[in-house]
Amino acid sequence: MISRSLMAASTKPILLSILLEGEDYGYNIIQKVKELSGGALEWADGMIYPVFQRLEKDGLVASRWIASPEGRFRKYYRITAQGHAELSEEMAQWRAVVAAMGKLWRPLPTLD
Amino acid sequence: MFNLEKAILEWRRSFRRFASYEEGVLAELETHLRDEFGRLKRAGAGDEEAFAAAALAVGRPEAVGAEYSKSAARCSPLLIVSHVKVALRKARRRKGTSLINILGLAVGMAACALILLWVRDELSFDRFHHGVERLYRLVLVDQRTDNSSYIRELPSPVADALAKDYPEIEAVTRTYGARFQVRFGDKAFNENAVAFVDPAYFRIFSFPGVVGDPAAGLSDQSSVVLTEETALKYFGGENPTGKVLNLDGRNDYRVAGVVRVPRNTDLRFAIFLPLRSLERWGISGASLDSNWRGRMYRTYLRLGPGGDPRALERKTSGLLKAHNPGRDERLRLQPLTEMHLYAPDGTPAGMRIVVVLSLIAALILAIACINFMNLATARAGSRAKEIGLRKTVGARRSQLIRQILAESVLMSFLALALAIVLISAALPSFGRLTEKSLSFDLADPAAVSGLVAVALMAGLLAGLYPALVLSSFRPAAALTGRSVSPRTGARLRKALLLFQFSVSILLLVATAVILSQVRYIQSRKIGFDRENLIYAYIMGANRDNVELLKREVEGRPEFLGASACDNLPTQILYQYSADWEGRDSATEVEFNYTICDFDYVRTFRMTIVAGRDFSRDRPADEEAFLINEEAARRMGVKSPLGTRLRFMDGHWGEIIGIVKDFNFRSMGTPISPLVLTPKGRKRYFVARLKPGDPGPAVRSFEQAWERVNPGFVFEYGFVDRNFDILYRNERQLGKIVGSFSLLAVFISCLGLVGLASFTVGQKTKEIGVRKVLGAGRSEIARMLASAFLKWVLLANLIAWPAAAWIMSRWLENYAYRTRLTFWMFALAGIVSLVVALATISVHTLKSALANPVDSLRTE
Repeated sequence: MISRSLMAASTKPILLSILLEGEDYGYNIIQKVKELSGGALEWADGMIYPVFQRLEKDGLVASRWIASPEGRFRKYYRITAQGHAELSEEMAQWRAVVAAMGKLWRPLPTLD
Repeated sequence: MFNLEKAILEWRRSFRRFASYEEGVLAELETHLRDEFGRLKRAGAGDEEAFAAAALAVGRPEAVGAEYSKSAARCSPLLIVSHVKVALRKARRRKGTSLINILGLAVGMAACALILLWVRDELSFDRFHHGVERLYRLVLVDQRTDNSSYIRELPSPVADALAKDYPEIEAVTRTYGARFQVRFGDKAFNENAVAFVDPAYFRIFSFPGVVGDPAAGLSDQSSVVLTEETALKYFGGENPTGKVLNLDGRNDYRVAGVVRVPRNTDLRFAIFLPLRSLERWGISGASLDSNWRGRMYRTYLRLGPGGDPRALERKTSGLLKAHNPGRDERLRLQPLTEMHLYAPDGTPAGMRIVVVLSLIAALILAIACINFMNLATARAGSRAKEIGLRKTVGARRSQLIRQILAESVLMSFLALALAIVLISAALPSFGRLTEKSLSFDLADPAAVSGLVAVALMAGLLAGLYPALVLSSFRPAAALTGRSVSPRTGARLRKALLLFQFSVSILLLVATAVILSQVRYIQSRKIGFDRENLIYAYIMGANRDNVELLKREVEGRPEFLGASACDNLPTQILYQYSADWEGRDSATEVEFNYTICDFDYVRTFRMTIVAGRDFSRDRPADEEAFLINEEAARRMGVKSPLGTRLRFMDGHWGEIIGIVKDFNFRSMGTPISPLVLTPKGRKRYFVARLKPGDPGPAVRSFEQAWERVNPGFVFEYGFVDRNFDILYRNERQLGKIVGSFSLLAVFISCLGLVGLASFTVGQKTKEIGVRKVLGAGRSEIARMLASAFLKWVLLANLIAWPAAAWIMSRWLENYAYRTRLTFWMFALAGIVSLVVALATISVHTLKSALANPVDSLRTE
């Protein structure tokens, strides 16, 4: 289980990173997150929509409504140029943190 | 049986209960729910089970809603646009109240802005000098008498002594004001604002040089520095450098520089001459360097960085005593920034007016804001349904507060637009009222940001209470119209109405008192006849022709008499000590003095109460003195007549007569002891005209002048106008307070109109029922009117004691003052009642005359 604060910090880079693969809609994105984290990232599904709204207001993502083959309208999000810039900044920061942690925590000794 | 669509509808509603969402948000959440529902179904779950699980996956409505409003709280521009749209729609729908709101607020803002423009101008005086916080005016504190007097003119050597011996002082300058007739070619002007100054003057004060270096320009004894305006007057567009001006036909000065002097300075001179060049005018260098007794030079200094004015005052405390052992004098450093609004002794003379007017500005704005609050809360009942509906469809309280505040801020900005128009329209007449040329420039960032701040504040202040009240309605109760009685905020409304009228009445009383005081001091007998006295200032060569001019005038039929003197009665300012026979050594009296010829008392029509006037038949009278009654009282001699007196360390002379006390200064000051002496230089020529049209007399005066002084510019004035100038401040204050109190009454009444129409609207049915039951028109009208007049009466009761207390404190500033009389209060009361009655009578009459059937049928 991941703590609230860590979750809050990681949501934005995760969502932006998923959008790097291409335009997608909320439900699908949630499924991908669950898959990727093996269930470690437990979100209430509804929680990502306000986050997207905020990202959109900040100009990091853009959205449009597209009708699915079965006629259901879905809101698709894609990353903007500003989003790319923001993400690479975030990535640099996360990499720095991960690298530091990696040096501190040697691999666990294994029993041969 | 489980119905998916119904469940989804219910689910959406549960979301709305906790927040309102932007378009599409709920649709997006719904597709998510449907996708998850579909996945679970495919996995084999039942309808009901799949829906519950999907809803759970989406999340609890309150948690998701809270997350959304977090991002909405960042104030989307969309939301603001929507608020503005709604507010405009509201304004259009309620034209009457909107108009009252906007007009009242606009008038209030405009009044407030005008006063603030004036205040800003007053506060800006002499603040533009570089390092102004280190500039000081020196004040001589004469501690000899029972209460110290503070004198702006210092002995000449003080400046040099300070500059030489006190390293913390960067520069010192003296100024000596004079008037000359200045001639260039065929142009001649009488210049009243000529200053002799030290070269340091332009290093201390920042009057930017336009041509040449002003400080260097004054180092040469025959050079002169002009202001831009003066240079333009003499030379038009030509380069003034090197041009030669002739002063009084006696001395030439060569123009060495031109400076720009802004409007907001009290150092408004037109021409600057080197102080040392006073020697060319008969003031000896010895007197400039070592006369420690004569007080003639205003002196200013600039302290070095870190210089401590209080320490310098202490260090210089012995300076004057060392040179004038008999006297107890010290120096006070008054910050230059205080020069405009504070007297030399530090009394906040002008500052008091600034504070009072700022207060009035704030009160007027408050009155205007109160209108807004009152009308908004009064209308609360009719808005209850709207609020209830908004809440039901999911508006949160904070959103409602924002909406209502947006409405009131929008109103206040509409009012601001109108106010700007009003300000521009009223500025010229306000300028005349205050005798100031104020400008209002929309490109001036300070003025604009000030106005926007005022508008924003007014909008928020006015909207805050209605916002809190309205947003607190319980939706269910509001929709059924039960909990919202028309009494919502009634008590507050009445209290605010009371406040408005109390303030208005207070201002009305203040106006009555100020105007009555002005009339009192202007019409009070001052001890001589100041009407029909014409005067001229004798310059240069003319100075020797006083007798000639007198004879010339005396022979003409338009004149009743003439006299020469050194100062007009309004200009007798300086005090000196005197000695007399039989003086108790403990008795020190400071006398004012004026030099006059033998016809002075006759010409001014003063009264001799004892002894006799000067007489031409007795040449010895040249050495004699007249004193006033106050002097006779203060000298402590049994009979002053025949007593010998010595004044200003001069000659001993006999007191031959006592003049009845006359006021030679503003009524703010009591009459002080006065000595009249014929010995000395006389610069003013005063003639008494026959009553009636002064026109022919002025022409005759001019002819006489031309015959005696061909070629000298003729300028004249009337003594009674000079007295009017003494009361300029009071007159202005009276006019300003008067106009703004009328505005306050107007705005209060505007609010009353709104409240009256609202109350009448509320009571339509009650009136109908009363009429059906047999009430007459007059009864109905009385019932409605009394509801308001009661409060106006109460406001009078509150305002009167407050006004009495404040105004009697104000009157204490005057040595001669009018009494507070009942009519001042009664008049304010009557005005407030009549105006209020007239205001509401339209509404009361309308409803009193209405057919009860119409009002009762509305059900």
